[in-house]
Amino acid sequence: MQNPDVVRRRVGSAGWGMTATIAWRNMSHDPIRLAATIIGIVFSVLLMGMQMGLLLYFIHTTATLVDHARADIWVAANGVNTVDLSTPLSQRWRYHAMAVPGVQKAESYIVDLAFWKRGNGTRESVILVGVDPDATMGQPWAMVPGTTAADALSVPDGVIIDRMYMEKLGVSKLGDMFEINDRRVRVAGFTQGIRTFTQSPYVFTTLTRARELARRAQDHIAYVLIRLEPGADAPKVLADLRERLIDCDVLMAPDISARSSNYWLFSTGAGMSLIMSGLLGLLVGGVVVAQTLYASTMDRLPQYSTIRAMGGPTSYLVRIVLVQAGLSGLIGYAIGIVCVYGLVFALRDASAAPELPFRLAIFIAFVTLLTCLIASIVSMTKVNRIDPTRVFR
Amino acid sequence: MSVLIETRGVGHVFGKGEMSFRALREIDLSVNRGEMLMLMGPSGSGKTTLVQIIGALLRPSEGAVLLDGQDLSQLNETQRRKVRLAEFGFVFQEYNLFPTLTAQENVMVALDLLGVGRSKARTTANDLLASVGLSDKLHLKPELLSGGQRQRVAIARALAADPRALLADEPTAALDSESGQRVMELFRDLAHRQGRAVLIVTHDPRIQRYGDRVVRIEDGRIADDRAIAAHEKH
Repeated sequence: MQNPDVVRRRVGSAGWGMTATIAWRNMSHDPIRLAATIIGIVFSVLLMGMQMGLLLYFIHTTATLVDHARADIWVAANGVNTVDLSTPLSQRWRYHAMAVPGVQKAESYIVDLAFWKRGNGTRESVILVGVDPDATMGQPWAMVPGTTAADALSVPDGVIIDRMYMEKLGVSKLGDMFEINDRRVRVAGFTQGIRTFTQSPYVFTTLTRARELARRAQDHIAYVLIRLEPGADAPKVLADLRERLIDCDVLMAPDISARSSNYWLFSTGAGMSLIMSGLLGLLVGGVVVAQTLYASTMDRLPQYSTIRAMGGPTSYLVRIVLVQAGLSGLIGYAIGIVCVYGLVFALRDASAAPELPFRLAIFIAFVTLLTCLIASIVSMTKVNRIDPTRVFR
Repeated sequence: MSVLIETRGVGHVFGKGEMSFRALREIDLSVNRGEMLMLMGPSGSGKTTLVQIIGALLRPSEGAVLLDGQDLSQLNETQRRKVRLAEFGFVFQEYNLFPTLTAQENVMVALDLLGVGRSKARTTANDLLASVGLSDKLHLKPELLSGGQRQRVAIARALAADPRALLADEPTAALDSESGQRVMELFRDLAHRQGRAVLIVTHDPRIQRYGDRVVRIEDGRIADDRAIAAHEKH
């Protein structure tokens, strides 16, 4: 808007520098209040980071078999909720699948619950994973260098476990002998970093041995893993498979992966509780920022009224509040995220290791700053309503 | 001396209907450039309301306020805000300085509002503080300044826009007599040497002698308007 004629000088726009100075001094003037604000935000970032990190970890571990199987399509018994809790399937579906145009390979896969007997006689539940040693899909991954999965599985009674669960299963070295469902097994190989959501370790072995250990029939399988021919029309192949494999669930790998994750995270309430804890952290942080920002604004009302009386625009005061909220958020986030990364590092070998990829850290920064800005709305409303005449007595 | 501020038949009513209260009625007043006018009267007489109307903080219910011949009461809120920013300097009883900023920074806030860059604002703030005798207190926060010094910082802040008029509300009420005297001498200088119109609202009859004219408001009306005789000034 043009200056009125009576105004002789050009009235420009205020910069951000002075508002930032005022905002920072408002904050640093009261170290205890500043500390309370920052601690509130750090707590919020910590809770969000750890809960979301765990959520991400759970999402990855609940479907880790699917995500690493390198299959395009999974065939399961009807109504399977999660890959770890399978329902028996007849091997004949594998042969039906192989006859469908566009299917390059169809391989059998077994996932079954069993009990591992430690040397001291105590038992641990494990998830048996049976795969043909020559299979191109579903093989154990992340093998510790020195042994291949095929070599380990070709050892008589051989099984492969993850190093992380050696203590849990009472294993001290390769070659140690144990029992699964009262049948002898020999530890023939180790993987590194294959965690399970249920805390029942995966024990990889051959299809035949898995059937024996689980006391299943010779044609028993749990899944058919399918790889498509290069250039195959996946939706068409999927539709053909569904038509032929009656009483089976035929799903693209990402779909069964999502189904497994959703089952553990939402049907069991584990995921919702993580999400709720994260949101609670966010709420606590937001309330702390809103409360301290409002108190700080109330302390400065005479000065803000003076600025309004002098002719300062409301936007100048809003800017001070916004900078205060933003600075609180940035400082709290910076400290909080360093703590989260520290905890993630410290828990990297734990049975439940939260994950914090860079994208999640950026997301938390965004959410934290947004929360701080939302928390400043009450204060902004207050400065918007300041009556400049109140400075006159 | 030419007229800078003029009110013509200004009246003001607060509230509406039965709860309304008439604070001012038919105020005709002029303030000249270089003149120091003392606005006196009992509490509730309407003098603060009049200053708020003259300073474009309140729009009068009736009449007009002219600044250099232009009617301020016709301006919209944004225009009136700009007039306040560029043409009036305000000084308050409680100083209302930012306690967390230094004297220099408090003055720089006013310059920032005008859009003056940080480096120029710093130089100008130093000059303004020097002009009120505080060149050695630039980096002190208000808590380390006496009441009189704080009020002089507030005056330096009011001068940031080089305003044509200064409006002060009880500027010496919180000061001891010696500090009050120094502040009033400063106001007199700003009027007489720099040609600004200075309007001071006060209860204190002891500082009346610093003015050129005294206007007494009672029950929302001008009860008396007279020049201060030379013998009253000493």
